[in-house]
Amino acid sequence: MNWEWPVIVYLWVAGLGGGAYFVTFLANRLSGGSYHGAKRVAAGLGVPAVVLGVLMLVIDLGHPFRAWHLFVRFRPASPMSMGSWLLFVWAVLAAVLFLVWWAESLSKKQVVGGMARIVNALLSIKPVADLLDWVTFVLSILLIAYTGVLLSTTSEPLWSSSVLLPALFVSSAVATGIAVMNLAGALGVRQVERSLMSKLCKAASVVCVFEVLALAGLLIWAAELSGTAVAYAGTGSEVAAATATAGVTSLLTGSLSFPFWAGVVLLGLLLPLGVEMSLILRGVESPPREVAAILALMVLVGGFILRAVIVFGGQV
Amino acid sequence: MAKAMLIDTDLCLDCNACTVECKRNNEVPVGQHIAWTEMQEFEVGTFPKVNTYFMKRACNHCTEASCMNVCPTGAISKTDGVHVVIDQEWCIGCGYCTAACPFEIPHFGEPKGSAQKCRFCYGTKADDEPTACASACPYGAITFGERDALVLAGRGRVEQLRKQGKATANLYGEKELGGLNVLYVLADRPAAYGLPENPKVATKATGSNWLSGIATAGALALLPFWTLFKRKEALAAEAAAEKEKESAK
Repeated sequence: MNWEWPVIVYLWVAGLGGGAYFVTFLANRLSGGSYHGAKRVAAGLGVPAVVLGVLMLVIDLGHPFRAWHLFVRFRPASPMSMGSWLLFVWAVLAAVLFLVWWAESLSKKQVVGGMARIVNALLSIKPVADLLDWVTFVLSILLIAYTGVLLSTTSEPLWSSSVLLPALFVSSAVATGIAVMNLAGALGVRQVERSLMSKLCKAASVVCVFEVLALAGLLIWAAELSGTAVAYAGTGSEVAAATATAGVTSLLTGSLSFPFWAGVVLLGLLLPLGVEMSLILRGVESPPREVAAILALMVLVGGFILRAVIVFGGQV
Repeated sequence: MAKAMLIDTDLCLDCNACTVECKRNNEVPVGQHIAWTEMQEFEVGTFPKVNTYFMKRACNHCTEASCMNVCPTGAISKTDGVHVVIDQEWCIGCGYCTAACPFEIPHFGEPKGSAQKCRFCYGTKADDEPTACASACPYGAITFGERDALVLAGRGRVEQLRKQGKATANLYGEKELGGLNVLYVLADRPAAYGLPENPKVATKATGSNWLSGIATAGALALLPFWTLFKRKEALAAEAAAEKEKESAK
């Protein structure tokens, strides 16, 4: 076993951090700037989360103090090289934008003494903030895609037999990004407005369907490819056959089946989808805070378990 | 001209002279779970028709090396254009090569440190000098030499084995991954030796993988986000405009 908990945590936080930015950017831009404050929340929560995840990755390295070697060369063929640069630039830009938006939100009275100089410096970036926002949005897409590309560009059958892992991780990242925003809103962060929360709840149901389709496709595809190896198992090596099928079977019926069925499928996908659908069908425009919070928690925990079973299942 | 090796699994008796000499010659640490080459046994078939195959596992020095492609720091390179070497001083120990290698060769010791694997005795033997494992083998199961000559020799041995009734005998590594620089004479199908039947370069689908992720994000931006946020806002604006009209009346 090569990649374990630190990588799982990292894949999860990179997804929800980038996902939250992706979600709030779209919500704000498409609605003509109605949810500007929510973007600040997304950046404010996303940057620390992603930085924490990266720190976990660095500690997990064989040589943590050589982590800077990642930023000496630029290697487009290596997803991890691209990902390192992406993370770095994304975190810097999102942090700068967070500070600019924070400076913007201060009233004149609050700014006194030495603070004024910092705030003025931040406000001087404002003319390019719009451009930076767009760049960070594009980087968010690449960042959440990267978590899937990292795993699928390997020789582990469960991860690499189809190109669906990035699709799965992107949908899950957007779902957890929505969940982060809704949880913040439910806990009383006023920049996440009620109208945004109710729309995000609706959006979550569609994202959930994407996730289900990608997950089903991934497993079917991986099992299909393993079929040839299984056919040979009777006459030849059990070892070779085992590596090809083990990933899928460990998820469906093997050692990972409980977290997969209970955690990923039920808690993370079907239950939230059911609740969201029933809210829509019953015409509930704005779900109660408690419901939004529980939905968000289910999706976040389910998203974490999804990454755990995929990471462990790929290395069976 | 960089050299290659031919492993004749049918001549191997699992004596481990190669693994010991590899450790000695390359000063590979003892007792840290590091093995640049190791022996594997595969029991195949059902009683009473059973067979045991011995497989000397080590880096195959692929022409299209997945580990080298995915390495984020460029620590893995072909120092002589053929043999794949991990720079122990530059490797950060991220583990990407271990996940990317179709043969699961690169590995870590305890403590983790840099990724470990065979380097074709780079730095410990001259280019035209037989590798440690090849020089140690008492049965002539490991031949060191020019790749072209080894391919011909390997084909000859496969022919021989087939005549002996081993119908599935084959030469592994001639075409796989652009050609391996360690070739195997196998008495049975590759899977029986724990070798992938159709190995693929890990980075073959990197572009499609990126595309898959980006396309999904694009699709999600349209549905649900565009439909939910754009359309509703437009409808709300229309409704507001209509109201204004009415109130103007």
